Amino acid sequence: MVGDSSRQDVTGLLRRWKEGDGRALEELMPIVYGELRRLAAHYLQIERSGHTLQPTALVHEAYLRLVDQKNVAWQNRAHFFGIAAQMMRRILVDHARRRAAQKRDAAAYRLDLEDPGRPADREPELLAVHEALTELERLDARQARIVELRFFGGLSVEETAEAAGVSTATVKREWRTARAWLRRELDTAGPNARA
Amino acid sequence: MKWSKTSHETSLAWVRALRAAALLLNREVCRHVLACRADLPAAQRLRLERVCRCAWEEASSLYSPEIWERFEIDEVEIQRRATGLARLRMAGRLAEARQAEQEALRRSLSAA
Repeated sequence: MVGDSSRQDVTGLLRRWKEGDGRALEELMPIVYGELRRLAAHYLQIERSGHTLQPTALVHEAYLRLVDQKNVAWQNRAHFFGIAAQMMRRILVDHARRRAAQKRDAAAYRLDLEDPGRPADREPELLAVHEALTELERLDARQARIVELRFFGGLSVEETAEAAGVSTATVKREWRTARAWLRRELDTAGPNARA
Repeated sequence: MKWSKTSHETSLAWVRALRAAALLLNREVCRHVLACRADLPAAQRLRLERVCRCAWEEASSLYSPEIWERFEIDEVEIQRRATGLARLRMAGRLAEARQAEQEALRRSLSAA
């Protein structure tokens, strides 16, 4: 199966890290990258008409293929998705802030073979969404969490429900309400707030 | 949900690795598209070049410099493959060209 040897590598380096090798975690990235490329190649083979790869889906799948459930701290798959969404938000927002400070454009996250540059346009709105979401956290923590999982984590409705511990009907309802609220907030803030 | 320092550090390491890997994959696909599509409008070329540069810069900021020596893209090889693919487009065989470009990318990604 694809990823078996990589999984052993990951298990080994996590063991090394636990034994005190501080640099072992850096080696995760080349392994994840290798797995991601293999997955992308696989999807290109089986989805000839689709042409579109969603890196969020790919990275989730790469993680699930690589991880040895006995050797990680996640309580379950939903736990990983939930934490990953938070971390992703932090990384993306920090990066967008640095970019804004430098008055330069931010990098893309999604990957589209037909138009790989398109998603870069998504970045300027990222800081505005983050700020509005911080406000929403004060008003309705559950809605804010659902937006974080969907927007920053790239999770489906079902995955969001699992990660947030609610039903899919609740996710759909809260997502709809939160999106309407965010849209109003972003419209009020205006284009200058999105730079 | 109680978190130890170890859990937090491994979580962060995983997310950082996944983010950097997604950026590198994005960059690799952009390079491939740029090489294959000599007919791209200038604005789109600029945008793809910017995506490549930004992806590389952000990924670089996530790790120490030593690790990046392993991730240089072989531009000569990309150009060599792209030349053959471009001929199909120039001959107006667009559907065939699209399929060939995708197959070339698949083979390139498979060759780890």
